[in-house]
Amino acid sequence: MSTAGPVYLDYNATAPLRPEAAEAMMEVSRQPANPSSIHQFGRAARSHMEAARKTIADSLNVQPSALTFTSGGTESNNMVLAGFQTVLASSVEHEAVLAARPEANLINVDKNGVVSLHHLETLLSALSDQDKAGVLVSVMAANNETGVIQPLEDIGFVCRQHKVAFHTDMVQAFGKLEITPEESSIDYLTVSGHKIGAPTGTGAVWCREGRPLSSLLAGGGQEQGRRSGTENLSGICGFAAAARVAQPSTFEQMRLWRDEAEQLIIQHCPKVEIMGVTAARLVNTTCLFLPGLAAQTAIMALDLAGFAVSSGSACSSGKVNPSHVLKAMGRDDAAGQVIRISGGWKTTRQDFYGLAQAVIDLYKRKAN
Amino acid sequence: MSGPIHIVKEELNSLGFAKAPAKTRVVVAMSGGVDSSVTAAMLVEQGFEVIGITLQLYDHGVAVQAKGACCAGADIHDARLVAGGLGIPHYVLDYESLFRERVVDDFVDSYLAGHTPIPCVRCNQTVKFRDLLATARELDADCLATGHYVRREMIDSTLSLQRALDDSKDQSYFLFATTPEQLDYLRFPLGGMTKAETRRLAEKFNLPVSDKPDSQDICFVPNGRYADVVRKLRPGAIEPGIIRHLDGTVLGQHKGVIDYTIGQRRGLGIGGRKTDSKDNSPLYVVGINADKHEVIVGPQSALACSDVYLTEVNWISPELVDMATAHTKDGLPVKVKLRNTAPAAPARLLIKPDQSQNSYGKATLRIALEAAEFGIAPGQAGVIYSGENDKLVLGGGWIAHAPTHAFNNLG
Repeated sequence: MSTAGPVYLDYNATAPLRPEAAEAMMEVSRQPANPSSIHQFGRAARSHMEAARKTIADSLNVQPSALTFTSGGTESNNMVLAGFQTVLASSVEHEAVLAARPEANLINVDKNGVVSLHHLETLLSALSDQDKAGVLVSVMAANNETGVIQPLEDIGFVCRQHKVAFHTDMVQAFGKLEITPEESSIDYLTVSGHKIGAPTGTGAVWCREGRPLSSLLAGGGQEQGRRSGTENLSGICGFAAAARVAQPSTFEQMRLWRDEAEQLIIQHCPKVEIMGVTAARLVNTTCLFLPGLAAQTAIMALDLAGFAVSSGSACSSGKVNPSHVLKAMGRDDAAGQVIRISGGWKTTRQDFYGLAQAVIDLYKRKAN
Repeated sequence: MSGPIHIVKEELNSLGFAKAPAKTRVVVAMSGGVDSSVTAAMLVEQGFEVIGITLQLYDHGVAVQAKGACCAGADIHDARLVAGGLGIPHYVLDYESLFRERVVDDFVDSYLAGHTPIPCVRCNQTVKFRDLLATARELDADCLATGHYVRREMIDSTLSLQRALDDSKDQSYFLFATTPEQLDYLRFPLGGMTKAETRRLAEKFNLPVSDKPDSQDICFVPNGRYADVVRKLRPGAIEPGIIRHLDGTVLGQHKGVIDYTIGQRRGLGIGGRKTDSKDNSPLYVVGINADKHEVIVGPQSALACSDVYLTEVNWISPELVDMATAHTKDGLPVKVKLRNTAPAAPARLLIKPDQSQNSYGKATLRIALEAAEFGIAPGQAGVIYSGENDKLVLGGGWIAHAPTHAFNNLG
């Protein structure tokens, strides 16, 4: 264990609550707060909620009226996907997309995990104009395992040409990447609160005017009939407070720290490979292929050494599933030997440096 | 006045290391059951640096065929709960493909060959004491502790495996394949305890599993229906055939030799012998010919067997075997256990020096039983005990061949 206590570098899984979020939540939690109530408590709750909606909409560069609060990224994605006859999804999407529509047509990616525009074009060209009315293309803004960023403008252009709807899961990119739905011709955006330091159980979906979006839950018809159930006001206020401070500009220096760590590791362990290194990536994420070292052992050893990292998607039991992302990238050879390091709002340069040293130590001792 | 005299004593901690428990890192294999949970709790109480590891060996959801069930069963959940309560790091390792490769495939093949396998031994031998042990070493642990009821003792500076103090819980039969190197790294803190003591400790430590029943079945075979597992994993490999009496008479049909075990009497799918009124004695499975898909039945007397041949023989403490055999001419008198539930029977070990290799090799060993035994099934283990009260586990092997008197009569 390092003397300064354990170092958390698994922000793509979740982030610690930001103090701004905690404060905002406490403030609204002291009063009864059902935004649907007619009395003054209800009115106060509604005005807090609408202020929060405005804050989050601003950070997403969208109009507040089209933003619906949900319980998180999984629900948001499920809501969007449920409204279409046919789904075309990239093969590196999160399970919240792929498992929601297991029959979806998969769009190929290149060795970095970047969507093939050519393949997207081919898939769309095979559809008749009549079919296209019910088609949704779903491509994430940035990948949770590798941090690789997708060419949203190009994908949006292709979708517009074919007159099909375009959804972007920006759970990982939110607060780290500036996205303008207008320029990228995006019709749906989905985000989650807890990845940016808001509480878990918060999320939102933005939907372009005129596009379908309906509640998965039958009930009181909150959120203009789009999401039934009493709004999670304290969560929503925490979400807004976190969104206000989670600006992409605050992450710029992390690129330097991340790159330093990567270079240090490669310098000492030349066999180590950084997945997606030649593509544009989120500045907080590095995905390391450690040939000859089992990821599950590496994660345990790093944990015992005081560094919390992960190996991509884990099931609720803690069992690590084989990564469909690496498989889609044609990197079956790396399966089970890849660890993911992801920083966030509390991360320091020293965290990345210490992690690099720990990885080097471990790799030199254990890899065969 | 003389100064104080400092006596530097090299004291060993309870796991046998000359350092403080807090400086001793131990991995505990936690199954989610009472025994391994108490093992972890005891070591935490003694101040060791304990790391809990639970193995995900098979997809629980698939095994119980419940739609939507998690891949991890309730046992993994329990292990996490216990580790969380103890405040120790706990990890779940995905050993599904290793387990399939090293244990389940062998189990299925063995049944298809007409044998009666014991997958628990293979699991200890490979997945636990080879793969998990390697992981523990990679984590720089000093040792790997399990909740098995056996003892690890020094006899004249030689490490040995001994039966548990509690005879009713002794698990040495399942650990005969432990190599000296593995034994060196292993610890069995429950070996000197009774199950009742373990349960009392579980209550004392307030473990959430203190009233959990002991597991009875093979873990990946729900409800003991092993034939279903074989059918599912090797569809098409199972062929029907005939049930033949030793005298040559065909008595009926069967759906596959996997449904039969040597010594089995019930559920043969045939009545008594209808045609022969003189002989109404019950029929037993006395032989299985997997190649011809034949099940051979006969009277109990035909099951009598006096010689057993073991293969893949492992000696846990080769030095002790060498010492014992050095002065014996016509076989070392030992006790041998030919199935877990049977008492150890007196026998003589007929061993040649070149066959006393301790490696995981092909050594074949002949065991001459003092009195004939009935219903010895190939695929089970022959475990050899010696010493005072037969406490010492010398080693053992897999029963490759157990010729019955009937077999000998058949030529």
